[in-house]
Amino acid sequence: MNARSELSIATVLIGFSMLNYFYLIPTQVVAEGSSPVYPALINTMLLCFALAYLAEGVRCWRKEKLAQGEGGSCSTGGGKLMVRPLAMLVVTGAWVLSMEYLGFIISTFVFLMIASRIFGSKSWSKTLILSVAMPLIISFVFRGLNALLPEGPAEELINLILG
Amino acid sequence: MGEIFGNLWDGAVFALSLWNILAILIGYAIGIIAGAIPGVMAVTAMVLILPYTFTLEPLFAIAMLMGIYKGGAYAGSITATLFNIPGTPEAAATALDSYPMFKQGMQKRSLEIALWASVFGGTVSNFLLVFTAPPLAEVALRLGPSEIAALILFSLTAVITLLGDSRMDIWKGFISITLGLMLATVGLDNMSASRRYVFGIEDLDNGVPFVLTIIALLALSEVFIQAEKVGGFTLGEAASAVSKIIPYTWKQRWLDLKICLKDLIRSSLIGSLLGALPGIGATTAAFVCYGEARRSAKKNARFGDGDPRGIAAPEAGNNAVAASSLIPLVTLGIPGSVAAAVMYGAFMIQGMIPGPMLMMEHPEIIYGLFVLLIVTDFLGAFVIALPFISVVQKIFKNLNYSLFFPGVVVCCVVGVYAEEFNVFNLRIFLALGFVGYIMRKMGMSIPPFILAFILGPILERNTRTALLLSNGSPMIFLQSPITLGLLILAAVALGWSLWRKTRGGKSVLEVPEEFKH
Repeated sequence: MNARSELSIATVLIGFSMLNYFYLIPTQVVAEGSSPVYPALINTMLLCFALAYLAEGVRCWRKEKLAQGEGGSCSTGGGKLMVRPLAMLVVTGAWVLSMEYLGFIISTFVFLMIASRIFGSKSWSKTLILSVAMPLIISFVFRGLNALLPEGPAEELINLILG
Repeated sequence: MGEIFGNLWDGAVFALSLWNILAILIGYAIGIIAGAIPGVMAVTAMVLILPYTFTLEPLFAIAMLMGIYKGGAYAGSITATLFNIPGTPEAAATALDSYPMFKQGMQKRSLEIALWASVFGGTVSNFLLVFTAPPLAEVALRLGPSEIAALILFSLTAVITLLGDSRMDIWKGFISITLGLMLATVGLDNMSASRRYVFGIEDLDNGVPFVLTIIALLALSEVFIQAEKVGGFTLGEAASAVSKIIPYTWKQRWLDLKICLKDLIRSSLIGSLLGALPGIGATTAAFVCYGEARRSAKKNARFGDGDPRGIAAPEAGNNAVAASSLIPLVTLGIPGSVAAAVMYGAFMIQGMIPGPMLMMEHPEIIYGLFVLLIVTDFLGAFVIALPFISVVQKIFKNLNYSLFFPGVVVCCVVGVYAEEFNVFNLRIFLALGFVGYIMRKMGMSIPPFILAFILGPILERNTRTALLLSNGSPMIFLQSPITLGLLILAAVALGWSLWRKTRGGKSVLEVPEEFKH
């Protein structure tokens, strides 16, 4: 991460701290009848550390400017967000949201098929075996333990077959 | 001393059942497999197993988790030796000498030295835990709310100041801690039972579940990180390049023991001491021990070219961390590492709160755990580790990461769902997993966040109780010498750390960048 990103993050944190002071603590803590002392104390800590982080970011930014072309940097962190993790997030989110409607078996089957592709799986047969076997095995283990996973058409069909 | 031995005997009678021993062996096997897979550490396996321990007997569950931790601590050295790919970050120090030894055809020698050093380090650390925990617990019982609050503040500060490599890291670490403390305030106020930060959502009244948070921040965020590295794991050519395998004779074993004994003892003690401090971790201990072994060796040492001391020292050191990192947990109720935090969760799931009271009220459980720890090292090494080396080799060669990581996500989601059978929790889980990923991308450390999240409610309860006792006067934090001392220590640690970074001085606890979490 470059110094500019560090400065942006520090600014967001300071903004969040302000939001907490002037909106969240009054509406979500005080209005509910709770003491604001401890949340305000932690928020003050966050503000102080975010300010220190901002100051360090400014120092870093100056250093980077001075060392331009020499590759000097005092920033830490891994850099840009990547496409695959974001795709995984979207697919996992869709799976979690659809589980209530499609049931565990079908939604997990679809999730595993897509997620394996995101992770670069090239073998359709292996992906298919995993996508079918894993939800079925987990579903039967839960059934054996008398614990229910979200139900959908596939579970209803299994219930019908097993009585 | 006599009382400790008496309690150990009672603990042994209570804990040494066939089921508990089976739990250790199962756990050790899982730990070895998990620890040998790059990207999946023993702690990840512990986290995945954690929600399923609800229905298990307390000691069975805890013994299994301990087995995973110990198995994982050794397992990293297997792939480090065979493929020069450390399964765990701490095994990176071992690879410096174990891989060159393997290349010379001494695979058996290298793996056995690592195994024996692990057992040695683990055992020394176990005994340190057994003999230091009871007196420390007695002291802990005399601490009041202000002292406990100061102790927690000191622990959290120590985690950051000892591990931060730059001033930027230190501030990011503190922000991580503060965010963890903030997340812990969500839910009902633990003194007045009124709601905080719940946004009208009843599912948040009990706060953000602990197990869910750990799984999301450690396991799910790791899957997102691994998604960036698709196709990044290669075994290299070396694994198949060694054609001649030199047998490891008993004479050679005896010679190696003589050469390594000093380093084994020194590294076990260093690892035990570093492990007892909050936040140091096995990776740092392994590199410190390797550095010490190298520094104290004579000029004709072959470090970096297959010296047995280069394997024994880091392995003894990193395994010594495992048991001693439990000292703050069982004596003060403060987890000092992520693995200890998972153990804390396991105790909580079983309806027990770790700390001095548990040690006084249920000594059979704590001493039973100590006995199981001692047994784990020996049983794990003899029954599981040696036969498992070839199994690990096969798994590692044939593992399909493109199917493995989606499977891990399914296990995480099912584990989180099974905790409360609540779909809403899955949404929080997903959100926290992504927050964890973003934090890691921003260079913010996850372990301090988790430790702060766990310690937050204890810190709040004790801070507010202390203020109630003093009618709201913060002077209570300056009146007790222990509280004052701990607060000064925290401030000095922070000041010293910032000063050291300004001067550009290097810490003795420096770990190479590529092996950091």
